[in-house]
Amino acid sequence: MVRLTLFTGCFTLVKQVAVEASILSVLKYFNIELVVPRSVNCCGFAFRSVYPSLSLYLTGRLLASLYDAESSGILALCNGCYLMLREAIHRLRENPRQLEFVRSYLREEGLDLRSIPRIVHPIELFHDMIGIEVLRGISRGGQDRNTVIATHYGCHALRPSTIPSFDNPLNPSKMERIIEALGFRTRDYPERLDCCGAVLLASNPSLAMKMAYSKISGTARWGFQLLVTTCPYCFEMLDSRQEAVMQMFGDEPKLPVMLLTQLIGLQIGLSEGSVALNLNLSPVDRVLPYILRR
Amino acid sequence: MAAETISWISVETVRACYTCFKCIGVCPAGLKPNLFVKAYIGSMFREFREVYEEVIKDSSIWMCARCLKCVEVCPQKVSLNDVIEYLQHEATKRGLVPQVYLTMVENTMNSYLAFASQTIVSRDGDIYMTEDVRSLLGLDPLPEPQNIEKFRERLRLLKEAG
Repeated sequence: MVRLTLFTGCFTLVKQVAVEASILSVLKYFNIELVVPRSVNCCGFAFRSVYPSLSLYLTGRLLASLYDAESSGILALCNGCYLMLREAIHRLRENPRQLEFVRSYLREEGLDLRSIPRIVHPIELFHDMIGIEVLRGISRGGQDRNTVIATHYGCHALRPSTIPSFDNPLNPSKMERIIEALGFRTRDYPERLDCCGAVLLASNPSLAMKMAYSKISGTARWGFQLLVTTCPYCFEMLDSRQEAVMQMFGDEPKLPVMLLTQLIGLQIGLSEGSVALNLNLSPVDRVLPYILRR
Repeated sequence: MAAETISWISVETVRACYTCFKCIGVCPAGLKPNLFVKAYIGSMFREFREVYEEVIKDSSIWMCARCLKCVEVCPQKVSLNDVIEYLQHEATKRGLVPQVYLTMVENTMNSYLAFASQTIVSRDGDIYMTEDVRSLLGLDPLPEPQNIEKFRERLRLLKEAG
């Protein structure tokens, strides 16, 4: 049995709780043991340029406090946290002075960075650890195999390419293989690697909404029945705020959006409630007849 | 202390920019990252000093969505994200930082998390607070801010470190 330490990140904990609820339900089915730590902190992503030392300490503190020798790695649900954790490992390895700086603060609270954990992305977990063959096995039919699903990885799952990720940063394919293994179709589209705009919610919300509009309306015009993502911030922009985003540009909600873990959950026969589908605000009802197993 | 612990992008790397404008082409926020390169140089040298002075007061440095597309297309491997973060840090030192980031730091000092609990709406129009919806879904309650005093003190020192 694979054991992983769960790191939800702040935004999933307080706002996008469906991200947490759906992965907990789904991973029980796949026999993955998730350790849910009680002592966590913000990864420092949002204010990393404002207070870089503080931010690096926060990420270093996570690497130290979430480390578990029995665990195969830290499963980071948020793309921002995923990048912060991998980048901190990269920086601390390259720069002994920064490492010593972070350790001096950690030692005060009885923590240390002796071993570096593996940072796992949810797409990597399904594609590489659970595996495509297992996913193919759960797809027992009943769904409409002509349903075409758009994938959205989110920027920080892939970029920058200077820090190794789980997929090709300029032409990823693992989420596509997962969608196909589940019995659906997918295809490339011009907006596939476009940004959801979430980082700008803090400093320039109207520009954030404009970027989300470009992503949602651009994706919808290619005829996809559903867009799937894993990141809580991308989900906030593309699903939770879709109505507000579309209204701002005189348009209406048109693209059903789900978390990858919600789609997988429905395929293994979980109820809509156990993957918190009632919290999706995009028009997901339109696509349910095509993806539910009958 | 900050200069000793955090290493910013080097001036040699930044000077490799030959203004091909590929970064402008991919920027979804419509920014002119080449201007940020000039501002970076102006922060250290007399050349472009006036560009630097203007840019760090300008809100455009806070309009980067951090999509990192510019980093990927740069033929000279100049990480414009690093350049922009450096300029954001310079602006912060002069107190020119959007309040929202300071609020997130405050939240972290008070609760370990950058966000306080908030309202969550369901598709049926039900309105919950974070704690209620977590409990309904059978999720653990939000972490308690235990032993936060010492953590807060460390963050205070680290804020001063830059």
